[in-house]
Amino acid sequence: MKSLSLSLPEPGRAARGVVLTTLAALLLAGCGVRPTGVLDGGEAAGGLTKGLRLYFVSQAGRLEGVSRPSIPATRFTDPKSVIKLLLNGPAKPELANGLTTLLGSDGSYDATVAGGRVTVHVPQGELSGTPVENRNLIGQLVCSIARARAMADTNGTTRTDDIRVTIRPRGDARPGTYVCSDFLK
Amino acid sequence: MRVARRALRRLVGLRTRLVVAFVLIALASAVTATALAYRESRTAVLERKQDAVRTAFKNRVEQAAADFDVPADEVSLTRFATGVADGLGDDAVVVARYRSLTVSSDASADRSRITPALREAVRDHNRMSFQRVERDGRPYLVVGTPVTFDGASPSGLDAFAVTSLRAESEATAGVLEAVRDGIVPVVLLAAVLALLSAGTVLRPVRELGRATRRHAAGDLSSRVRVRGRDELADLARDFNETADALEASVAELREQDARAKRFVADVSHELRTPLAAMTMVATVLDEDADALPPDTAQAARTVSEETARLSRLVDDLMEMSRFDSGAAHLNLTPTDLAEAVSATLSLRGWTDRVRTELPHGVRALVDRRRVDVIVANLVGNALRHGAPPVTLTLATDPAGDWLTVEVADRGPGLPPETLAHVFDRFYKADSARTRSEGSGLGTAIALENARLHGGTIEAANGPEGGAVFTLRLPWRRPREEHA
Repeated sequence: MKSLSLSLPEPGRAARGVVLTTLAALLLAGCGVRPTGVLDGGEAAGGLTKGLRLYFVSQAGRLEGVSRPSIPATRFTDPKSVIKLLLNGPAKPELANGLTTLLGSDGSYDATVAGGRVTVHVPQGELSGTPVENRNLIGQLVCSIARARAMADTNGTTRTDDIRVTIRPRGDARPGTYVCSDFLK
Repeated sequence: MRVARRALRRLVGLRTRLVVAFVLIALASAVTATALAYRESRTAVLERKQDAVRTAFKNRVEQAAADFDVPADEVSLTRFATGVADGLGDDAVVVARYRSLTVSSDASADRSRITPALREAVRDHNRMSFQRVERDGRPYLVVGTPVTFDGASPSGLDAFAVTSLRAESEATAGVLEAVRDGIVPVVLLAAVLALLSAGTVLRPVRELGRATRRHAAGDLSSRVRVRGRDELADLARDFNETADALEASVAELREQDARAKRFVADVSHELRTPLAAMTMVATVLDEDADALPPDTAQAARTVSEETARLSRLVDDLMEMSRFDSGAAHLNLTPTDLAEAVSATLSLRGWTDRVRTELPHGVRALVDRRRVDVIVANLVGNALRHGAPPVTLTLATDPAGDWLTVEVADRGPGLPPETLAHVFDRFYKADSARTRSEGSGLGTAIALENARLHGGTIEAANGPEGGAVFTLRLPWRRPREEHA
């Protein structure tokens, strides 16, 4: 009997051992999803640009900005040069992604600057598409020019929406004044 | 008491201990395995979710950042936050901070889930950070990142996403539930296995116990079956070997005992014939002693007395041998005990020396000669070693099952050490008096005679001093009284 009890632990002692093991296991595992401290998650998100940003129209009919980080925004204080870039259309990879420009190829756009206000004269016949197309075309002009003007402010205090752009179609159509966020909803 | 102890032993016995041990081992392994599997699966599930959220969040932030310009106002910040939240699933809340400005994609959401520690980490290190938090018992994953310009220079814009981990929590809880449902069958299975293995261990143990008890009861021939090659089989083999040795020793002892008894019987028998001749010669010499010279007469009388003593001793030895060899038989006859006892006393001339109390009409089936031997021995001893008055009382017990004949004297009584040996063969209470009149076998023969009747003789000291010998015989009534 003595030797048996040696090889076979008494229930009490065995129970204590098992309970300890179980507790240890449970402690190791913990139950449920435990809160943690702050953990590192990798590199920060980038994507903000200081360079020039042009707005084109996607296949879904929405305005989409593409950056031209290689072109310093300070060189494009003149809205006419921005319009020229818009007339040139998207770059090849952007074209492949389905971006287009709605601006026609005739170069008779004109623009004047007065403080925080820009007036763009749109050639006749450019705003002859569907209302959505016309709106996107105006959005391309307003956002690209306003962004360029805002970035050109070296103080860094001018926001894109601080620039108000008046679109003046040649002919009978009534002019309208816009800010960029009107088109980005 | 014995039964209760046995029941208790069964309760804390090997079987119970085995079952408990098995169940505990099963529980421990199940719980440990579960805990490990649970931890692994939970880690895997959470890491997958965290990675997915981080990747999606970063993509959305970078996509939304393309349309975002600093400095920002509340409108553009809100647009940024909702834009990021749109791609992160229904339950995600995105909070964007730009300098002192903080907006949320869901204005009603609880922003305290973004801990100060996380806010600080995002602000101070130019890296993405994340944290799991718990609010109202529900787990959430909060990811925060600063949004940098291309070229990794900081912009002052921080974005946070809060997503629920409820689905992951439930998925891992499912593991525990599955285990909880599975653990009962596992424990039952363990108990059944324990019972089976306890059976294989306990069956040989029980057999050993049974064999041991049979040995204790005197059956030395009982053996156990040796099964298998384990320790229990070794034990059974050892038991059998021990039993063999014991049986052989006992048989040898019995053989020796029987030889010794046979020798005594043979010797006594061989002595009878010469003794008969010697007795005859001694009797003749004794009768003629008066005619002999005084010295020769003295010698002749001594030879005659010693021859008579030797003759009695041989008779007693032969009587003892008959008891030992089982050759003694009862010759039961219907007897009036009062009359038989009286006859014993008068035959030996003791009637006047013994005060008797003999109720009449006590009739029983006894061996008259043997009762005579017993009574004569008891009374003779009382007269020889005790002091008068010697009393003899015949009585029947109230239930009518036993007859008792009590012989008491008023002598010094029996010393305690003598009481235990008074029925031993050749035991002399008084060692100085080696040549007493008895052969030394008287009380032993009386006891054997009582036993032959199914009775006993008890020796004790009376309450008022003196030895008391009590013969107890079962009362077998003669047939004619039953009829």
